[in-house]
Amino acid sequence: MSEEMYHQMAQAVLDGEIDIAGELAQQGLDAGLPASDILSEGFVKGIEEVGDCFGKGELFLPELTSAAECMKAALAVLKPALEASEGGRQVTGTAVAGSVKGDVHEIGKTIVCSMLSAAGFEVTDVGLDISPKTFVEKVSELKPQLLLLSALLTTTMLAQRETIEALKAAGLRGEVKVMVGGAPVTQEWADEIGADGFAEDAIEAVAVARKLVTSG
Amino acid sequence: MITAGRQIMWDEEACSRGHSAALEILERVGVEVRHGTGIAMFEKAGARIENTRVRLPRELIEEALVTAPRAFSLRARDGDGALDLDVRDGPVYFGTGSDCLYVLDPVTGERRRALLADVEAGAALTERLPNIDFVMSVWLPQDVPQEVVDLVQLAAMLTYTRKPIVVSSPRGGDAMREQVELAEVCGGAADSLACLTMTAPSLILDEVCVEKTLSCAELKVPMVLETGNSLGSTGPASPQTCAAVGHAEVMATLVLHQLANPGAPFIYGTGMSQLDMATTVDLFFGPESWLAGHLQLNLAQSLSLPTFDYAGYSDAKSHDEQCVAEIMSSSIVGLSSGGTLLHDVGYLEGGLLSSYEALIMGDEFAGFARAGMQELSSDDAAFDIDEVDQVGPGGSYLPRQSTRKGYRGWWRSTLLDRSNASQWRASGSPTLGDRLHTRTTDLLATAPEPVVGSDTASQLATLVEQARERMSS
Repeated sequence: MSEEMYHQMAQAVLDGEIDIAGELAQQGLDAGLPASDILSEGFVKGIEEVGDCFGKGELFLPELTSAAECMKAALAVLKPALEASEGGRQVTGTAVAGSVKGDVHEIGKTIVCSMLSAAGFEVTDVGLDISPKTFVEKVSELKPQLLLLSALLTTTMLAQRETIEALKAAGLRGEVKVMVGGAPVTQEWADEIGADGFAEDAIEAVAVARKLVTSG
Repeated sequence: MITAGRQIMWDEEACSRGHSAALEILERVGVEVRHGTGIAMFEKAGARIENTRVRLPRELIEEALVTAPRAFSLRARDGDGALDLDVRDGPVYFGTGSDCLYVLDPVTGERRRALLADVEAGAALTERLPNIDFVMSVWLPQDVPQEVVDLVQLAAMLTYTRKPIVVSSPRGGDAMREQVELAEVCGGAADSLACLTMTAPSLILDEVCVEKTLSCAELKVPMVLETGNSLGSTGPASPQTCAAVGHAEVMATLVLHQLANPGAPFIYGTGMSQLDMATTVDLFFGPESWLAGHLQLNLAQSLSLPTFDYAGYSDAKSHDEQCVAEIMSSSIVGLSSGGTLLHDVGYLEGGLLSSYEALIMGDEFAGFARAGMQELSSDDAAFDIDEVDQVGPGGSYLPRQSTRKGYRGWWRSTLLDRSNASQWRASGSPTLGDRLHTRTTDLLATAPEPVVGSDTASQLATLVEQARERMSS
């Protein structure tokens, strides 16, 4: 029976059935299945297949994004049980992502978050127009390995520098790797402001993120 | 109104339904307004407010459409009005795009960050391109203080071209006033600038959008309100629904604009792109976004509003076959759609990149499109039957006076090869790319020539510096 349930969970992710994903996660818990198994044997199998198919050009962004939303829905249900269990959740890495102060554009960030989720990262998207102070608070609270700062405009891009300075002032700069991205952002800018990583698009962002979490 | 050859995707009845759909979006979903004064103005006018969500009753849009002017001028600074633009639904004008971060260096071919020298050379080039009717700052220079980059860009354009200018400052606040002040130094005024303002996708009037709307209305600077939704990501995947969302954004901003100053000049900007679902790149050149943008344009035209649309652009990263195909086809489609101000001529890589070559090629193809889509009369005088009678069946029109007069007005290409095969081989079999490179080199051989005197240039620099000092104090 557990195999059947895990298959349904993976299929829900493949089909982008966001409403059903949370229900299936709860049904699994109610049936006595371990939260970590529900995740690894059910939902993660689904998102790994989506990621694989995306890499082969068989599935595309809408499938990837809806798969990430399914994971989010399932994790919302599983989180208390995961935290209570010994193994917890095995992830590729942890990240907090947000659009910087003054910036209300988020589609690029949303796509990056989806692709990171598909690649096994635990991602917390804190939203738009996030001040340096709020980023510092989130880093202090959630202790992510990565902080992703998105900016679409040359004017709001300056807040990426301010956020890095705020991390330094709070004594947290050494606790997190900072990645920057957005249309006007370049490797030169990333180097100038002391960011740890830069990616030109969402696909590159996953590669850079993997490298940063494994390099320590 | 020029309608010959105009491409109508939605007729009057379909536009009426599309307009109603947009009004329903505004009544049911509303717009997010991230500005206290803006919200207060909407509330006072009768909108329903829930935190920052503003839902507009359709009467507000109907009132704004009554007061919004349908015709006004965008003036040049040439002194005699020859370069002025008659901004209304009818005439079609071509112009550049703005704020590209990168340039393909005309000498090395390298893709590099743009500099102030490129902004100046670009403005000087567009002054000489016959089919460019209005100018934006093609590039966003990285070697100037970024807090006053908009003023530096405008000063450069005022220095090197007399053509009407569309500005695109990222600032609200005093930015518009400062820009009008610069234009006045060069004999211009509020109506020699149009100001590009954008909503944020989707259905968001952010702080800068509201501030620019209010200051343009107050100063009576023609405001272009451009939407920027991307099909399937920030906007609906359905072209019809995406067009309705964009139309709703324009209508909401028009309401605020006309509340601030009834009768202030307003230009409807269509803006549509689409996400490539494999590469994650936002595309300018896609048939689905053309279609959705076209529907939105027809909605604007059904209300007789002057419009801001697109022509002469490409998603290519170099001057390759894709570049030529996209610039040529978007020139023809742009003109046939009948938008008033067609901008982004010379845009590459979806607006991240531009080049001198692309500007020159865009100008060339704009001329080609214009020549092939002129409105021609069909009254009695248009048909010279006497001429046909005199030449007779099988006769030659070549030596006739009518031909001598007529052919001189034909479009002549500076880039396309019209020789026969032997002549072409004898000249080294040049490609379009070869001829484009030669033409670009010729046009850039002389240093950019200012159109204002050194005193004026100096005054512009002083005003920019004063603004910078105010900002840093």
